[in-house]
Amino acid sequence: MTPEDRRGQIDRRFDETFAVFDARMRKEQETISQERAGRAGSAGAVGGTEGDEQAAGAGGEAATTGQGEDGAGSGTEGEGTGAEGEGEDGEGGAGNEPGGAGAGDQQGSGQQGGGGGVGGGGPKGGGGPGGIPSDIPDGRDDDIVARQLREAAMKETDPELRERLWDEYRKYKQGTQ
Amino acid sequence: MPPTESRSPWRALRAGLLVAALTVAATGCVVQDQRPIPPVVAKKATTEIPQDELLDVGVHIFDANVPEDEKEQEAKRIFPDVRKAESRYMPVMLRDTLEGTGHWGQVRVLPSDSASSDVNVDGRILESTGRELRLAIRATDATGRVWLEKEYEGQADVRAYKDVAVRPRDPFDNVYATIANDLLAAREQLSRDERVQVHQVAQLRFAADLAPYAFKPYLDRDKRRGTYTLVRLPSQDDPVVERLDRVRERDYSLVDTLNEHYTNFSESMDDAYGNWRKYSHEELEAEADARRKALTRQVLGAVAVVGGVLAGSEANSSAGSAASTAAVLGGIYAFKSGLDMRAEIKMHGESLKQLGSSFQNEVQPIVVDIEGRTLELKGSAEQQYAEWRQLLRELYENETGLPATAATEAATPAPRRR
Repeated sequence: MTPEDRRGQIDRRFDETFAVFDARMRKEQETISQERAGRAGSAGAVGGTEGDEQAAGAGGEAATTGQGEDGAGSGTEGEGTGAEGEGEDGEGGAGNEPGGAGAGDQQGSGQQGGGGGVGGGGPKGGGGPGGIPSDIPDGRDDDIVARQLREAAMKETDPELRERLWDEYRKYKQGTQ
Repeated sequence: MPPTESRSPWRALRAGLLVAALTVAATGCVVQDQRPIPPVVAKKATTEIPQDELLDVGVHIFDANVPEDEKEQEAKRIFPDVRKAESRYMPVMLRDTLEGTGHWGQVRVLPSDSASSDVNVDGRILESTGRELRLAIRATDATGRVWLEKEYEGQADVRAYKDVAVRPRDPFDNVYATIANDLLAAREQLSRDERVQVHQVAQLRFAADLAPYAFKPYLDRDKRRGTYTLVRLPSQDDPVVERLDRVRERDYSLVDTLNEHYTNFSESMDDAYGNWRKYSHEELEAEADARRKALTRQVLGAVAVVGGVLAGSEANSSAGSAASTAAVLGGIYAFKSGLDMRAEIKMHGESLKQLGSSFQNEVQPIVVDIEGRTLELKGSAEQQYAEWRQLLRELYENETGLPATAATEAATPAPRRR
């Protein structure tokens, strides 16, 4: 066997083990995401029963403001540290929150693969990655932290995480004004 | 009547009042300052930091610092599972604070034995109640340089316990912001070259851990001082370096997953922990208040008794005698009521015990769960790493024609590459 053949053999074993490892990590992260989504869902349900009138009002607004603008991320790329996992096609599921209408066919990327295109449409609107809720300002006066938060939120495909990022953005902007 | 005789009861009374006033003033110093705590703001980045200077931070789960002796635990009101939970929760708070500044690369919460980050932060919980937080923090970088090693403490910002529109995320935000600012100050003391080298040394230490025969020669280790210096950088065309980069991506994936576990954990305990801290803060305040009142009453009571006795011995009139008797009786009553407050203090102590015990029962299953899941994840990753170590060794031998063990022993400065 030549050194090149031997190298090829070793590389195949690397690839196999990487695939196994990536699948394990992907599964683990999916489990975590599901747990977080479940918890957020149950918290949302509690909130919904506690504030009927407000929730109804916000929901109505969300239905009209849920919009999917193309992400206009600029500047630095996200420092992806994930594995090279080949992204799987997003499932493009419909948002399971009131007013949500997911924009499907997102190309998943990074180690989590898939998951793209899950519809947004929570109380503050925004569908799919890149969707900007109506109460978010245009970002012209964003500093570096606000810009990073905005870009992360626009790129995020998980609606729950995206909403959390927008919340962080709102809080940050409030704190700096 | 001589003037001295008529003034005598008043003089005794004045003396008593003066002592009482001084006592009140002295005990008043103990009263807790309840004014809002001025916020410490974690300094945020105002300019973009060059990519090669961005340092990754690993915040290790803290040392829970639980005494083995159960009596000591009880005396210090330490609930082991609560502390274990806090040892994972607090690093998440610190991580979030650091992330929010924009000064750092990836900031992750990691198990205590992970040391592959550019900057590693270790902590020990010295005191944690709803009122006060005291932490011992040590931060080092990959070269072994100590960035900081000090204690941080802070009183709870009570706005965090109130149902108000604008409130801090955590009652001890100031503590985390202070640590973040100190870490930033330590980073700013480094030159650009030093920052870049920290990252390079971290990468090489990871490489040397997986393939020592190939990468140890690139680092100079001072065993006595525990420091690492970069000798030179490996070629990026090196086949072993290429594969090792792919392994490193998996390592990032692993630590990201562990980090997510800790985030998930902190979110799952957040509400219950917030309530526990809020109620225990109330009980601790009430207990401290009761202690202060008890002390004040006992001291004032004793002063009144002494003053009354003194006044009685000097009084020649019936009015003076009656006043001194009243002072003695009042003093005895005040002293006794001070002693009676011990029951109230004890009651608050019991409430705190109940609160801690109840929260411990609530948090214990999720502590066990996170411990189990992170251990399992690390365990299976270790098996995978062992396989990658073996593959890297085989690749190295294939590429260089040298036995890996011999290369390690010889620590050749420049392994031959094909």
